[in-house]
Amino acid sequence: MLAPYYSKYKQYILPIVLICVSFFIIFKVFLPELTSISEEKRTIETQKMEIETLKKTFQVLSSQDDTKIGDDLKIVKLALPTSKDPSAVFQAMVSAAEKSKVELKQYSFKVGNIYGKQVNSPNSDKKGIPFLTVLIRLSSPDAQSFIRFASEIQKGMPISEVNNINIQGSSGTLEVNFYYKPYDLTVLAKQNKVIPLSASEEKILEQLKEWEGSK
Amino acid sequence: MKDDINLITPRKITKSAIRKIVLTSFIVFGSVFAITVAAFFYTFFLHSTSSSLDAQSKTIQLSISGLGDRREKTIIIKDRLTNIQKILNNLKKVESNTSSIVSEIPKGIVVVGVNADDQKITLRLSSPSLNELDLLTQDTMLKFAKNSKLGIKKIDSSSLSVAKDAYRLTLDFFFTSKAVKK
Repeated sequence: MLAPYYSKYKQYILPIVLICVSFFIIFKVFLPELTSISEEKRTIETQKMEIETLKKTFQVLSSQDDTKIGDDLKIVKLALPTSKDPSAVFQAMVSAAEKSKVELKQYSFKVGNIYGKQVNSPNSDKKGIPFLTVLIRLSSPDAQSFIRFASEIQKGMPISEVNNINIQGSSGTLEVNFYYKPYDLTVLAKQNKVIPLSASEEKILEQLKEWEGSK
Repeated sequence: MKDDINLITPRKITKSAIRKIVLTSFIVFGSVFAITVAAFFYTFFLHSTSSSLDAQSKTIQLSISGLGDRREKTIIIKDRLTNIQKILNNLKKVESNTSSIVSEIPKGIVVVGVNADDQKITLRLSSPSLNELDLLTQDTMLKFAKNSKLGIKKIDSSSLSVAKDAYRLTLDFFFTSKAVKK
């Protein structure tokens, strides 16, 4: 039944098959392959960047001195402890009182919330860094001494911020926030990138060393 | 009329057209096949490049893991310093502002009391000389107002009274609040 049609159109069969196969190759093989090429190129770019980061990290780490790293770590932990450290706060107050020639009369810690469903600590400011608030009562015949005390305590460790100063005759009260910040080592350890300290960070480190040295 | 002068038979025209169609289809198929094979080879090349980069990355990671302790400490130092910088950049200037203002008070005037926070500093001053207090409000206050570093928004003299043998002056300094730096 199909024989007359076959004999009439048999010359067209091969071109039709070739065109159909070509379309099949384009849509089923070539286009997916193009997608795979662009994905592979993206992966390679990411890998190259990662290698560059790793190389820089390795360079930074291998160029550092263990003793210096140990000293720097000690200083930065003194400046910003990982937890509330009342003994360090007390030492800072005593040292500042000695330098400014005021008498440390009394001090009290503001404990803050003990239990609550708040996620963020109420004792953390806009910077998002928690702190321990201490009310310090001082005595001195000279009003300037209280201000000197405020200045000395801000140059001490742990890092602190004077919230307010109230001076009445020979007695003064200061409210000071002493900062601390816990860290999650598992989160920090996931960082592939180790960036060398910036110039401003080096400067801060030098300043901290200076403050620690003048204790 | 046209049929009369056409020297090629219709059978011959069909054969030539078919030959062209077959040739074109071969060319299309050949081109598609060649490009696809080239794409295959290119993908294979990219795969091998990716594998070699992966191996390179693993080698460096292995070298870094040998410096694990140093890496951990360096990351902690960097993290601490970033936070310290954030604190220092945003410190309230209560102490420095109070110090700058109190240091400018002439020796003949006694600072009886100070109430200072980051918004306002109140000074309670005492002097036996009204003239000295007047000079302070005239000259020294003008100097403060001109000092842009202090960031004084307003200076108020809230009270002037006489107590025993001295004059008492209360001054309020209002400061502009600053934005938190990152």
